[in-house]
This record gives sequence, structure tokens and C-alpha cells, in this order.
Amino acid sequence: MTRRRVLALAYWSVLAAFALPLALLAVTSLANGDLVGFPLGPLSLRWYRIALADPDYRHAFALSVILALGSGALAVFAGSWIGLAAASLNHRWAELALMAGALLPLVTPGIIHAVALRIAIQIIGIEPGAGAILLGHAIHATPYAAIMVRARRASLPQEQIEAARVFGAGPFAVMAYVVLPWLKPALIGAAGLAALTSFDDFIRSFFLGGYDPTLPVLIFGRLRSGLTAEINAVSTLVLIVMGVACALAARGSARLREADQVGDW
Amino acid sequence: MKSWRHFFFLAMPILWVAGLHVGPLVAMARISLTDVYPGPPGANPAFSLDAYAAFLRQPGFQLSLLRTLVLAAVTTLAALILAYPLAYHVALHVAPNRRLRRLGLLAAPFWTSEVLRMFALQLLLSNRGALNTTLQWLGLTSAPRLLLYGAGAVLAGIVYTVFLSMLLPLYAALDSFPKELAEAAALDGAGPWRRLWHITLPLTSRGVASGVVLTFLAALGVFAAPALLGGPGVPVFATTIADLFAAASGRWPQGAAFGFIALAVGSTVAGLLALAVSRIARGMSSP
Repeated sequence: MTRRRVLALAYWSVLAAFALPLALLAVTSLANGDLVGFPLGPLSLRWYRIALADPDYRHAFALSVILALGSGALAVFAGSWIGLAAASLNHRWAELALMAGALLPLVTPGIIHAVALRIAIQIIGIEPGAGAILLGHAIHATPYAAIMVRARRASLPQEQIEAARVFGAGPFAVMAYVVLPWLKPALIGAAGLAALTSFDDFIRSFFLGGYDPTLPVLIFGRLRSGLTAEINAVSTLVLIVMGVACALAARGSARLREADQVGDW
Repeated sequence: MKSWRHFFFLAMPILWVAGLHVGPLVAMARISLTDVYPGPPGANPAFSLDAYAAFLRQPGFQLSLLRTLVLAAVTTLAALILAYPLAYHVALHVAPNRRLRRLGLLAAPFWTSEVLRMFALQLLLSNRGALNTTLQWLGLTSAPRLLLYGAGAVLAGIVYTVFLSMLLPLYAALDSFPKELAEAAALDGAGPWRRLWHITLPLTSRGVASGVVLTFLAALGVFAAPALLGGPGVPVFATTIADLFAAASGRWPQGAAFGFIALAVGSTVAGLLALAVSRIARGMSSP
């Protein structure tokens, strides 16, 4: 019993340690002074007003959201194609080779992938900017989608496909009416995860970006040019937005799982 | 006809990964073998091994790579020691219907951008940060201690960046290994440490190996942590390569060569680490 207590204590302390810096971020955003730090001094929402009035942050946020949605959609499309192609192979080794190849973007160190992409677009003649970032984020998130779709596809009962074929469904009808509906939870989960990795990504956006920065790149630039206190307010707003989005996603996935269990006889 | 369709079905994903991942890596290798890139418009870059020679000639480059490898190895070890007990707790002590929520809670801080996390660490470690203020308030130091801009801060930053790469594979392994074996050993009178050492750790060693490889490779490529927490005194591979690419100084070949060397050395070390984990696990399972 005591071992359980010790491990539970370790769990909650590490969780607290991981959350503490982010909590500091939120607390310091409320300070009124120009210098970021402790003691906080008088509190106000001054920096929130300044941050929300700054068009740079609004543009960066909009760009980040657009890139997250676009690259998320691309990654899910490519990733599910890979997952389904892997499932269609009859040889175990061929399937393993295809999935291993698809996982390469996951294991390559971030900066090497970013630099390699930067060189590639230079050779092809694509200007750095939103389009290049879109492709970089999409290939980065593809492995997640491929893994999730492949795992979900493996649990689809073969009888459902055979039944559809017996009733005369062609390959496209089987895909549209049997396979894709079955994959729905994996597709939604993969889209969320891909959008999240894109919204958070810094290294690819940093190397592939043009003059319009994404939100993490803008914050990085401001941090490097000297502490300006509105970053705390911006960061806290991002934390709140992401917290709400994650809570909604968790609720949605719980509901999906329930619906799944009802439909699962 | 059917095989043609299947071929198309298979070719698409291969093209996608080849075009956006393997292709750029090949392009990087090619540029690393040129003299000047990007050169003046119209000029064709000539073949040259200068970029690799520069790596061998300049101790600064080698030191930067060595520092990166050491930091990544220490990060991997620290993350393993930190994550294993937590993953064990969630996978074996938490009720099944609450496991995912517990895991998600622990992972939640990592769903934010690494830039935000590094900025948050600055607020903890800076001279007017929470830690220094607390130390002074307790009377443990009279003047603020320099906690930022050193190898220690960079290490904390890298762990805070890549921790999930360790936690998730460990959790997957601990969640699915045959727990009956540990229970049987307990009935036979094996104590908790012997069960951990001879049964649980060897049976989850594949999860440990994938966690080690993923974490090590991710730690090699972290840029925000050394850039924001390291200061100029701690150049690592990522900051060195970023400097080589930053200006249009025509030094891309050096950056590309450096990236390629780091990728080759890093993958080799990661493979050796995975091999070491499986060797150790085999030694442990035979008492």
C-alpha cells in the first residue's frame, strides 16, 4: 500500500512541477509594471489591453490557426491513405516497411528536418512563407494520422466488408459506407492532434517562414529582442484558448467512445 | 487492372513521404557537397568537400556536437528515471476507466508550444524569477543566483521540451505487458524490487528502447531551449546550425554538412542505446 502512496505522491509532485512554470506565466501576466518578475507589485489588466490592441499578434494568431486547419486536413488525408495502403498489403514485411517509411518524419530531429526542407524549397524555387510551412507541418503530422488510422482499421470486422460485397458494393462503396465511417473516431483524433502540433510548432515555422511569423515564431522573436511584458498576456490567452479546446476535445472523444460502445455489439 | 489500381494506391503515400521527407534530406546531402550556396544568381555551385573539412578543422563545431550528444544522453536518462515510475503508477495503480484521463493530465502541459514552455521556465529561473525571489525571501542567498544561461538551464529546458517522447512509449508498454506474470511471482514470494528488476523491466524493455530512441533523437534537434535559456556560452548543434543558415552568407553547405554529420552520429548513438537496453534487459530476465 505504501508503494502506491509513494508513486501517487511522485505523480502529483511531477505534475505540479510541470504545471508550475505555466502557472507563473498566468500570474505574472496580471502585473502592472514594465519589468517582468517578482515581486509582482500592483495588479492590472494593462498588458492584456496592450496585447489585444497589437495587430502583429492578431495576424500571427490568424496565420497559426489557418496553418493548423490546413496542414491538419492535409496530414489526415495523407496519413489515412498511408494507413489504409499499409492495411491492404498482404505481406507482413511489406506493410512494416511502408509504415516504417511513413514514420521517418517522427524520428528525424526537428531542426534537421526543418533545415532540409528549407534547402529543398530553395532548390525548387518556392519562396519561404505560409505555403512552405503548410507542407512542413503536414508531413510532420502525417505519421500520427497513419498510426491512428492503421490501428483503427485493424479493428474493423472483416465480415462487415464481406457483407457489403455480397450485397454488391464495389470498392468505392465499401470505402465510403463501411471503412470511412468506421475510421471516424481515428480521423477526428488525428485531425485534432495534427492541428495541435502545427499550432505549437516552432522549428519548422522558424526556418520555413517568410515575413509573416506564426504565433510561436513571433513570441520567440520578441523574447529574443528583450523581455516585453505583453508576451505574458498573449501566452496566457493562448493557454486559455488551448485549455478550452482540449477540454472540448476530451468531452467530444468521450462521447464518441460511448457512441462506439453502443454501436458495438 | 486491379493490380494497376493497387499500385496507384501504394504509390501515393510513398511519393508523399519521398517528396517531403527523403527528398529534402537528399537535397541537404547534395548541398553539403558544394562550395557556396545559395550563390549569386546564375552561378552553379561547384563540387567541394570543404564543408566537411571545416567540421574536422574547427574544434568549435566538434565541441558543439559533443555537447549536444551529452545533453541529449543526460536528458534521455533523466526523462527515463522520471517517466518510468509515473507511467507505472498510471498503468498499474489507476482504475482502468480513469487511466487515460490521468495520463492526459500529466501530458497537458506539453500540449503548449515549446516556446511558451521555455518562456515559462525563464520566469522560474531568471534573476527576478520565482525561484530566486523565494530563495532570497527565505534568506538562503542575499543576491540572486544566476540560474539561467548555463548548461543546467538548457538541460531542464530540453527535458521540459521532449518529456512526452519518453512518457507515451513507456505507458504503452506498461499498460499492455502481461501483469499475471508479476502476480504469479508475487505469489511465489518475490519481493517488489525483484519483481520490478526481473519481470516488469525486462518485459517492458521494448517500450524503454523506443522511448530512449525517440527521446534521444528529439533532444538532439531541440532549438528553442538552447536559444532562449542557454545564452551565448552554451552553443549546441541546433544553435550553431541556425547561425549558419540565418544570414544569406552562403554558408549553407557548412550547415547542411553539419546537419548530416549530426544525423549520422545521432542515429548511430540512438541505435547503440536501443541495443544496450535490450542487452541489459536480457541480462536482467535471467536471474
